Amino acid sequence: MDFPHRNRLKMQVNVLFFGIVADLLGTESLNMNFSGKNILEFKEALALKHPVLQSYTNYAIAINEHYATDEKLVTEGDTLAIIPPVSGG
Amino acid sequence: MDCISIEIHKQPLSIQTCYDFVEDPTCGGIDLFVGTVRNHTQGKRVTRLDFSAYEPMALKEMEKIALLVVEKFEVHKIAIHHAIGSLKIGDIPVVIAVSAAHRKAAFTACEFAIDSLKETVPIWKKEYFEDGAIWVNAHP
Repeated sequence: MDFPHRNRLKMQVNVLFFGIVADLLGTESLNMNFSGKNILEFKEALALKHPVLQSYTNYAIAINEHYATDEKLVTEGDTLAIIPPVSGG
Repeated sequence: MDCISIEIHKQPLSIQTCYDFVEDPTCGGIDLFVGTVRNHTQGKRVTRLDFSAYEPMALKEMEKIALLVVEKFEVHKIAIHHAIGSLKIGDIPVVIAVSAAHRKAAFTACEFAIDSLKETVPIWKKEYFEDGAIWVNAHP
């Protein structure tokens, strides 16, 4: 069987914000419908929903508590964390 | 792994706890790094720091660093403890303790651990001044 639209299915993901990004957005978490494929497309979708992230792009993303690259696939129910530059220690 | 101790606390950190964890009769030295809250940044007076963390991931990243340290250097044990919440000047946000048979490995491993922590562990500090606050490192 072929699933040409497989990667376009709408899914729901849990999104967490930290540090300056939580301040900019005024929230620490939200559930988001996402109909894309990977982290790169998720970033684009997020910036459309929250235009402040079109100018603030200086962040990494973690999927389920692991740093993820732009190519990493997103799946239903994933927790995606927006991670601005860290400053612990 | 019983040679690493990884903790994040809302309460003040105990240097003694970290020391006691790594202390061992096979070791010839213990290296301790204690981070402290400084009262100024670039000439401005700092009043306090707020630390926040993505705690479950921060614990995982701290553990990765500790495991790497044990693999990479000739050390016996390592403790990495970090505080979160509001800290005053002189308070201790981070303690790293490393024990080793010989001092050089302990020094090197300890420096590697704190440098790595500052690069990868999802913990953030907000610096408060008399006239405002900034998220440290937030802008390139």
